[in-house]
Amino acid sequence: MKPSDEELMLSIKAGNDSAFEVLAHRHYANTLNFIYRFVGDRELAEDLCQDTFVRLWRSAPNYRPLAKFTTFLYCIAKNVCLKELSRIQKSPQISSLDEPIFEGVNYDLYTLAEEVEDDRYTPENAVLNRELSGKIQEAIASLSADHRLVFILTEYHGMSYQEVADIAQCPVGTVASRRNAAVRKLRKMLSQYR
Amino acid sequence: MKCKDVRMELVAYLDGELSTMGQRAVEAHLAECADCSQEAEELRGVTQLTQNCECITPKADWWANLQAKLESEKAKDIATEIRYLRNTLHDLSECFERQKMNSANSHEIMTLDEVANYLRVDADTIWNMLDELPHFQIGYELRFKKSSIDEWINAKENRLEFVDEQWFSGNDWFGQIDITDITRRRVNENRNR
Repeated sequence: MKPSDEELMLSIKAGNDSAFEVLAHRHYANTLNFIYRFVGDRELAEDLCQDTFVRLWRSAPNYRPLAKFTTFLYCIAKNVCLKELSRIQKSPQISSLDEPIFEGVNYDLYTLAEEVEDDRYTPENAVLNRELSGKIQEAIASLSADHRLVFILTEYHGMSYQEVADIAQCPVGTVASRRNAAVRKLRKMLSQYR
Repeated sequence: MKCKDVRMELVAYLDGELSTMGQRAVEAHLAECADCSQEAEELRGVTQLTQNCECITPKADWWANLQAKLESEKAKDIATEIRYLRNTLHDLSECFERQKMNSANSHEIMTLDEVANYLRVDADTIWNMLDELPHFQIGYELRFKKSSIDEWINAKENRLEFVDEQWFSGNDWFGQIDITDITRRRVNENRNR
């Protein structure tokens, strides 16, 4: 039987490094995708994801299994992202006006077919999906950080409003209204693709 | 339910996050209101569309990178620990030196300040008690012998004990013995000795 995340965390706390390896392999990809959708930049997302796991490892000695492990992990990830975003805001990069605001992913690096092992995607519609996917990312990036957090966690990580409320540290009602506002805003932005 | 209220709850309804009562109420409204029902379909369409957002996979060397970072964190931890231990060791050796100096200073013959320090009282108190405290003079300087001071302390302690014994061991200690008298007598005896 596979040990639960909480058990692994307690094992790390007791000084077992291999438990961290198991835990990291189990959650790295999901966390990376969450961060990628939140910050909208692949390279930055990789860095932040590494930071998140370093912080997770650092916090292991003080870990108490009070909440679900994923709540704990995504809370760290959220804090890492928000810190980075506010740092970027404080020192804005100088960019050309001609450049697109949202660059999305560097598609030359890999192909979508490789990345997504899903039979919904065939080579023919991969081009379309790639474009659509970029537009969706763009639309998500234009949401405010609060709305984006709620939308990503509910939409792509299948979390309940209660779990999101724990991560975002706000009431459940607020999660509901943010989710509502986010979906409506996305409807407006993505109307041409439906 | 009014359309306005339903629209507020529509996304939560589609997510299945309403209470059973709430789900039923919205369902009932959607069955009879074409506008709201269309709105619900549109919103469902949005969430279905956004599912098309691609997933990324971690770079091949993510684990190696993470391990390297953890190793450097551990090294940092060890460095901090070493620095902390070094500081503690420094503090301890300082403390030890001070202790050594103090014990070297506790000579058999003490000055007035040293006696005051030894008895943990003010220097003025020693001045006022010079009649009582065993001391001697070298020229104009006052000196105290440590052993005499200790004896004096012992005598003081014993005297108190003696009074207590008298007080508690008397056969009829309900007013028969004059305690103040005994105390006075003992104090005088001690003085004369």
